[in-house]
Amino acid sequence: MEEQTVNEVLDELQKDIVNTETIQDNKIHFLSDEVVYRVVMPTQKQNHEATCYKNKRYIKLLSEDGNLTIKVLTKILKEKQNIDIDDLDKQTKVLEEEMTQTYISLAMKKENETIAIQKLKTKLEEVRNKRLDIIMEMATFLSPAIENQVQDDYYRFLTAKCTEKLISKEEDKEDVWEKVWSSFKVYEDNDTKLPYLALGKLTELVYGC
Amino acid sequence: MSVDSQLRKMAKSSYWQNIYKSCKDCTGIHLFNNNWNFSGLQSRFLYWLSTYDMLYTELSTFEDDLLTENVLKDDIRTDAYLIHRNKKNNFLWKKHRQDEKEAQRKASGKKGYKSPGKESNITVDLRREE
Repeated sequence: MEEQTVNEVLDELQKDIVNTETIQDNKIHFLSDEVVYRVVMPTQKQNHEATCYKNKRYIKLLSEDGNLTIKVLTKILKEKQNIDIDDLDKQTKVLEEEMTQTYISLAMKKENETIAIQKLKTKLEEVRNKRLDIIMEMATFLSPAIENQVQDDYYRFLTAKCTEKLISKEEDKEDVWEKVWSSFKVYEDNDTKLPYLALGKLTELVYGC
Repeated sequence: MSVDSQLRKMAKSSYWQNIYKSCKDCTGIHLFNNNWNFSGLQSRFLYWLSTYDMLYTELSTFEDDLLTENVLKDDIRTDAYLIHRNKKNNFLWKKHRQDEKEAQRKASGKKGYKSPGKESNITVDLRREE
């Protein structure tokens, strides 16, 4: 994707999306190139289809040369590149404990201890960012692993199935929506920012984060 | 603003807190259009609704000096209070269990018998009858 498009996608994803309608309706609406889209919750059937697709991909990737599982990749990273994933994981645990202790110190502060409260909040922010950096680093190192590839495919498959486009909106009549992509293949061939945008919205809806 | 911050802002509002209370008291009122297949967004929202409901109740009953209105206005301080509360409750629960065991031990001591299963005073005569 071009840098311009990446920024557009990020801007759109950072917009406030949660409101009363979103929560009650269980759908997230968004705009792209002046067209209204929405992502809806996957049905049981769609979830099942996505799981089947994920399993097939997993077996295919396992049978192909050059693909690695997390366990093997971790071992290779340590032996060949001196990158210790287990050690990075331990570091995150230490930082989590540091955060818990800082949270407890913060909870004990009285209302009038404003400077101490601010200091602890700043410390929390720093530790949280440090932890996030390590997690991002780990995710980058492990992204080629088969498990992570098939998980990405699973979300993309669901996005292809659950994204709809507003076709017509007339007063006193129900809105008409239709599927954006007729198949997963069509979704994969779409080179615009829309698949990325829809993927971000679906993740927000399904996982709430 | 992150999705979680937006959910929390809504969940602690008096509008949603009142709806949540009504739902608990009256079965005819529903929070969402759907009654099943809840999204992660809805599940997270339900979690914050019940958490703030509990915190507002504790605030009104002066459960803990550390819980104030200003704490509830600030997400980071609310998180801090929730972690402290969890630790405190775990500690109290463990203490309660210990006290219970101690009371049981004392009570059994007073009645003059030992706790069962450790030692037997029964003598059995295994000799064949003549």
